[in-house]
Amino acid sequence: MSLAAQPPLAETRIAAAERRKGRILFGAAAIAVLLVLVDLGTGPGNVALRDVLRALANPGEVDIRLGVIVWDIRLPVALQASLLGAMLGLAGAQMQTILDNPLADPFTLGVSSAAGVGASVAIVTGLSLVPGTGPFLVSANAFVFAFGAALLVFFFSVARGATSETMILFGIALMFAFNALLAMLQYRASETQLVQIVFWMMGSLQRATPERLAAGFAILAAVGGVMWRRRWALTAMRFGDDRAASLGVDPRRLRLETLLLVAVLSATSVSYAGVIGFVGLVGPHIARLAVGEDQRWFAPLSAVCGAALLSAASIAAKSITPGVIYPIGIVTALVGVPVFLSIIGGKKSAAR
Amino acid sequence: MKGLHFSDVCVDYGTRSVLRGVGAAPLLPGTVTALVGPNAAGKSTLMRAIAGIVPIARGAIAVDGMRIEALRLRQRAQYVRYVPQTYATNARLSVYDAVHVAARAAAPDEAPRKIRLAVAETLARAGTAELSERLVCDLSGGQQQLVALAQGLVRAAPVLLLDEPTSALDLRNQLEALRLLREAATRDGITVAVAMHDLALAARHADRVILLSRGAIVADGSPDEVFSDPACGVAYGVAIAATRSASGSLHIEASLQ
Repeated sequence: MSLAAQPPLAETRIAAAERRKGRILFGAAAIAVLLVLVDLGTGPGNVALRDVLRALANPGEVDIRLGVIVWDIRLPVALQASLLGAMLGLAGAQMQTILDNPLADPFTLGVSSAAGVGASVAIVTGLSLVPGTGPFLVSANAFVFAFGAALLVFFFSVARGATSETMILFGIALMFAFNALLAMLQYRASETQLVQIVFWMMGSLQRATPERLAAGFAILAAVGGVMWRRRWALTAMRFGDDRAASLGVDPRRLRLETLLLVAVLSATSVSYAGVIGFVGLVGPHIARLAVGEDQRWFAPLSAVCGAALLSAASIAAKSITPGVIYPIGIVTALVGVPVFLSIIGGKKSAAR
Repeated sequence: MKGLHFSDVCVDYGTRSVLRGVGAAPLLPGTVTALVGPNAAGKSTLMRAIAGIVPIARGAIAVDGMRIEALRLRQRAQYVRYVPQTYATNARLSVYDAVHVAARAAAPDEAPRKIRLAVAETLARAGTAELSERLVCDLSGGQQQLVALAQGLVRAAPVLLLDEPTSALDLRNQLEALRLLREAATRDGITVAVAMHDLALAARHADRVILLSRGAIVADGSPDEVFSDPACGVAYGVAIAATRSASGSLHIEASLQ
């Protein structure tokens, strides 16, 4: 290679590369939608996909039983899988971007466990960390804990000498700490409280309501919108703080802002469905391999991959044992751990 | 006042003072200045202070008469671009995207089409056009350094600061990179300052040399003046002999005392 002058790059090739990424994003979105439909067609109650589609298209013309199964039971769950998958995928992608660590996600860094403990504190003691939250007590506590843990991760990451691996170890340490706190809460919990806590810690999509879904989509849109406005700055962060700063990006501020947004996403997700691990790890991992780390494609594709993954997990949770719906967190962990290990292995072999 | 002007710049890391009242006559547009000095002399810190990456305890920094030391990074990037010494990255971005994002981050409100043209032109000038579809994380160290250089040159600011921009480049690319910087200065009227370890390169390619030692400027002038100044040898702790050859090029010889 030489530095000698060459003819300007053909714009058509760049345009072609961008169209290819657009097609990948579109294709992934189509798969995600398809999985939502399959998810709707799966589950107890023996309803075929064809009947589901019929009930969706003409709500008034199907019998009540079918209508209830599709509209009141399956649709909220399926949409929630998609929503939370997108949230976790996006949260993981941005955590990985600002911490320069492909292993980071709300679960591996202990943020989700923290949110789970926050929720449990509310369930067991009724103690609110934010006054006046009323019916949102559990969610508010989950958020405060999630953000606290995110801040801990942040301060640890800016401390000198924090490599990707030590960050993950720090996250595991946080997880141990929060699990101990959780065990303490479980020990003094009543039986009903215990059931609630187990729901939180294993992750379950079964408690979806239209209002919560609407609020969730609004949160995702708002957070996604802010991240979209920061897309160039976030991409520039991939070149390290100094280079980003030289381009007019304030790395510390961007990191803190983004971490706050990530905490909003993961706390919302945890407050809706408990701790669901590894979606924020696997979704962005696939997206990065497919379109690279340009935020214009990386962020939306991470969200779409997360949504598709959680829909697939929801389908699996209902299909493994007929008649049993496993907690979704168990399924995602089973899929996520091998990917997590493969990223660690891949990092080692790529190390120069 | 045109160009880059800084005076009485002080930077402290904790209780240790790294720059102690550094100031110089303005660095002029269209010129290339070499910042030289032994390790830990404060070359990088001075550049980072001008770019706004490390806070200054005292001092004034101005570009084309505009005081910038209090500006936030966002505005400051309109005046100064800094290419740090660390060029290695694991970013999974194509070379084109890497340069494109630099242009977009620095000028978010510019029309996308103008940005794309600027990127294509910079890639061609920096000789990285043929790499444009390769992923930056797959490139060699030298190629990654060229990408960093292209990121500094695309839609350049009036002042361009580079920290050891040729440290990973082979002989030919070193010369080409320095030619690019010269071209940025003469063609686009940019004020270029380059931190360098290689005094021979500095002697040959810089219009002016500023010698830093222990956080202060100890010599400042043409390459001839600075390299024949005894302070130069003292700063490095070696004996330095600068001689003009018959062909007119400055020859530098350093030896342990």
